Amino acid sequence: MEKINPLATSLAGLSLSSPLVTASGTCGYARELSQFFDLGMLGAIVVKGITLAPRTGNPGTRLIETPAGLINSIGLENPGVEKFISGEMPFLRQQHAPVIVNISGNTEEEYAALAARLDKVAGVSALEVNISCPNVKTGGMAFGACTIAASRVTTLVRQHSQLPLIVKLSPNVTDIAAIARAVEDAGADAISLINTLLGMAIDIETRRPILRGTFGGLSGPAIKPVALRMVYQVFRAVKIPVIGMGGISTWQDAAEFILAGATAVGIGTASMVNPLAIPTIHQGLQAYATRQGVRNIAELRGMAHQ
Amino acid sequence: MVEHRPYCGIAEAVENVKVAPKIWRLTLYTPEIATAAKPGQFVNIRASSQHDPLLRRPFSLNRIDRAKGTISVLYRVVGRGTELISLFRLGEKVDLIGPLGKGFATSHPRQNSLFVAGGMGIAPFFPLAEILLADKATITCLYGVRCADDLAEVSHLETIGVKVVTASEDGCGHYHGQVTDLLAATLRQEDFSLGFACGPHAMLSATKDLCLAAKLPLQVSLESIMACGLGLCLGCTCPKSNGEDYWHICTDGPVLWAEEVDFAWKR
Repeated sequence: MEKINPLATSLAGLSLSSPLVTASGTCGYARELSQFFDLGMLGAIVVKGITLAPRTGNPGTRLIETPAGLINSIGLENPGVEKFISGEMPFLRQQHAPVIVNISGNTEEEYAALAARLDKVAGVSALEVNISCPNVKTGGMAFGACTIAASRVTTLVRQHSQLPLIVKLSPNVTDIAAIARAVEDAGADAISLINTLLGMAIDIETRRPILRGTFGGLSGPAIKPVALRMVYQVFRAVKIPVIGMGGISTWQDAAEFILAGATAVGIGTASMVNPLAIPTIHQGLQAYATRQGVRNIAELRGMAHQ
Repeated sequence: MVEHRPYCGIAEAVENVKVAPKIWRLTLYTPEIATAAKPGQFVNIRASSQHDPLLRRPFSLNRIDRAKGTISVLYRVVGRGTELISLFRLGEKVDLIGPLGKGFATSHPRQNSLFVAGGMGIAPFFPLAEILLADKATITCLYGVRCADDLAEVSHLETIGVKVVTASEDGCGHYHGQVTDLLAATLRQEDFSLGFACGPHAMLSATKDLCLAAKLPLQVSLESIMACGLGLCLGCTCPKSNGEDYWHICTDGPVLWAEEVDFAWKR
């Protein structure tokens, strides 16, 4: 008899072995994590954000630890789409997990060009459109902060790619539900949220902001309640599946996001603290599903709304 | 990428002792790491199983004892993380990852090696000295501190055969002044085949200039705040001397050739 996997998840046409995915920008291109566990146990590998041209990232301090959190200002350091395809995809193709490529542009045209370039690349299972990076001067979060811009980028990427399209939203907005509805209407197949919360820290001796770009993105357990609230709101606002993320460190956190309506959940900062976080959460979530008496974790999705 | 698959798990604390007023040495039983580790590599230790402080603390290896299966780290209590670590008791189950990063390159001519250490920068030199001395090298260690309370390791290094010259601006050392002034004087008097430096940014920058002027190849062990220590976050960077992009201290380093690093990076 075939063993039933209670964590098997279907998302935007993809079959995932579990709802647990890596959060973009927290696992590089997965080589490093592969030293610690078999990547085949991941629902999907969501890679570090890719841009058209290589980016060296931001100068100066890039990390600040905060109570139960981490502010980063990496600045989308990446090798650019061509080197990603030639240098990283051969390794990623060998892993037994779907590969979701996170893309980021300075302009609408760059998003379109990235979508078109990645559309026929073997081994790429879906695109995650990053309209929420707080650490770049142009593009990034600017596209995710208003419904019109978010909708335009989504429409454009949709026109240039046959791949399932996930749009990653910024929490730094007044009405997350409105943005979510806008990208759903524009053709997104799924929504992921949240990207980091805008934050800052000041050096009290020099009296200056610590980060050269003044603001950075706050992640980690500190942001979990905010992320959970937004996933809950977006689940009510749209029909497409939601990938929830933001400070998930334990299986209990992951269960909360699923109950709030997430189809899949992203693990980010927790993997940096503990590279075995995802396998540990996987084990806990599986046991939780069994204890709850469900055949599949999907039966618990959105239950907090009832 | 690290050269070996690092160990990620628990190690038992076998000793955690104060060696100077604010400096401690933590020794952990971890045969997996002790067997694989090389001088200059580091371990990333979790100070608390709770969410605060959130991140691990990276420490270079201060002792590597393969026979006993132990490693040690030397640390100064500077904040909440190191304060919690100083409270680790005998038998404490310590969550750590290691060995991480690239260590010192010892395959170059090194008959007459020079160490330049500033403050806690003394930490990685004992295991390096053991390897070099086993290979019949002679070692001079210039060691700068702010005051006598900062001195650690001197007798240990001397016992295994390292010539240690201390420098301090408060007059507690052999040399009255900064370690880089002592370095300049030393380089005028003696030729060395290979240099190794570890310490504060400004000290490393000046050491690089002096050694390069003296045509002495120099390796520097760099320090950085790290979120993961594994190459996941890309947060611990320093600029390459090519002026174009960055080294990632956790995976490209923490030891780099000084000529490859642009020390003009601090804000």
